[in-house]
Amino acid sequence: MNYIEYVNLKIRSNISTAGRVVVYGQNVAAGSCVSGLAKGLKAEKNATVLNTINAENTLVGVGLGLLLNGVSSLFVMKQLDFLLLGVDQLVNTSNILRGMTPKASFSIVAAVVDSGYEGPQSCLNSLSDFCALTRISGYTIATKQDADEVFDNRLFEPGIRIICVSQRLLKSEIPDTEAEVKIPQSGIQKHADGHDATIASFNFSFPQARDILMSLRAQGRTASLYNVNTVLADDWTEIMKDAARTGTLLIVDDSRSYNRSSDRLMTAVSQQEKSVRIITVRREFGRHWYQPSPDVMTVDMPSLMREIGNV
Amino acid sequence: MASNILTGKPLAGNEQSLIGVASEILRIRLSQLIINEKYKSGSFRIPIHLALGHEAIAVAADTVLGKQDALILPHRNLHYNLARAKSLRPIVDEFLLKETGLANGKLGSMNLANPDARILYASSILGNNLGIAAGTALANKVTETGDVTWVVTGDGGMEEGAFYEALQFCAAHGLRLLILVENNGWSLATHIMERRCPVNLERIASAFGVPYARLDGNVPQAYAQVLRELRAGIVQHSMPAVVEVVVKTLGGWHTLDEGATVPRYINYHAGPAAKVQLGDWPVLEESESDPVYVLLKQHDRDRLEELSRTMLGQLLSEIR
Repeated sequence: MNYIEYVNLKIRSNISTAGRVVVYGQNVAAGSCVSGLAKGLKAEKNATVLNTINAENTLVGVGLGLLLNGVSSLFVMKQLDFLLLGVDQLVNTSNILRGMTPKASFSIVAAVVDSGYEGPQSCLNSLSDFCALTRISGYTIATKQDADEVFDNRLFEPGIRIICVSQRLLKSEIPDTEAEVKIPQSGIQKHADGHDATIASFNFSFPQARDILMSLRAQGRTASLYNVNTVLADDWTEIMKDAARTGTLLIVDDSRSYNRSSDRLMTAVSQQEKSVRIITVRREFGRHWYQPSPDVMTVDMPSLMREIGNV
Repeated sequence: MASNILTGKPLAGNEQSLIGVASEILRIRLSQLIINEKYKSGSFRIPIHLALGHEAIAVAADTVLGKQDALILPHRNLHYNLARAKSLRPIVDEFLLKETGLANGKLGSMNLANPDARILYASSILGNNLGIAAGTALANKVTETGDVTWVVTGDGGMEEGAFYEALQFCAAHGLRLLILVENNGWSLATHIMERRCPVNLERIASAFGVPYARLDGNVPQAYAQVLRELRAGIVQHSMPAVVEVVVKTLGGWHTLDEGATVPRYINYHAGPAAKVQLGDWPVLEESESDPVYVLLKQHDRDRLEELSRTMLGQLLSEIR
């Protein structure tokens, strides 16, 4: 099953078992149904489905107003950068709601425009920037396990959150793993266990991280593979313990931001596990970062393998 | 049955209404003047936006608000909070950030809400509360309560895009929302004539196909009648409505800048009304802009002054 079909399936199945919920957004029940995210949603006994006007500030306020009144809602939006228009609500209103104990949920599901060709106005498009600014929980869906864990457990959990899918991955097969996935309390998934390196993937870079693991295995080496789908994660205990054991931490992060979650892991490891060697595969700001471009994080695998092997 | 605050005797219907309204106007005015005195003396560290001159619309709204109607307020919300809380002490304590405050000292002034009195939310960000009000109105629709959501904004707030977004959203989805625009002509230190072209709010409401009413003159009973009719229409037709209320924020003063020949008016926005003193008779301006002065149209001055003295004594005793 491809990525967007699986995400859509998870959203629909969770709505059908939720209590009273309002699902809304521009084109949620029209046209492509927000790139397929909201395909097949229809008003049911428990669900109100609203095609709305283009008014992100108010639409975020509507979700928070519903939450304030004990009604859960899901705002589906086409692009994360549209959410900039609702930042006032996400920062200022949510700060007031923090002092309350919410009985309902407000989730925003948006696509991160990481396909690169949208140009200047889709450049601030990293979920970590939004989460750093708002201190609202954010989740990225990079794998089938992410979709299962986040949509089944978080979508209608009381409180506020932003859940992002990758536009670049929409039509590809959803990344999956046959290995047992451990989900410790930190919300970090472990997809593989090994001895030669510890790989931690962030944002939507699981496919690249998995390719790195496969390349290592092709050379007769093994590595642990973690996927961090929680943007404000701060419990790095398990990854640090594993990195201390393997001696090498490989951070793979395709988010383009000065507020990356992986920066916090890097800081924690460099402060607390000084003997661990840190190698990064990340997408940096190029000279023309604001112009249309392929914008895909590519991995120079031969060089990386040499660097990992050069202990 | 209500009783005369002076004599303790039960009041007849119309008299009850008239005295009741006068008492509320005086209570809200005197409460603010007491807060102003404390503010001037440096008791409060938080920013407070006094609403001297805004008492009539607060009293009228408090009268018409349905039992489960929600009230969503802006940063200048003191008059509504005083009207709904019916007491001064919890608000003063809140401004002192005490646990005995109306919100346990956690919200201060600009965000002061009181869910028990159906004030669900107050925002310090211009236009921010309109989206929350739209969500509250939508919650009422999906839960089929039939209640009306009231949201208060101002001539500054309606300049924000959120005003048009929320109005359009609520009109599009048939939501029961009453938008009160308190037009005092000022945004911080900039008068409306200095910052924008004239905006015809009635035509804007008409463009969205929603009713509009304009309130002026500071007679709470007249305001309440209009609000009651509008509220009934909102409930019957499941639609929003816009009410523009002309207010003058009293307590400003004039200053003569160095080299200037014409004094400049200071709209103090937040902070204490430096030139206003607490007294038995709290009229601040002898015109229809002052809701306390307007009371003289319906009441004997001596009686009002006596009522004011008694009220002031009660309020001072409450916060002692």
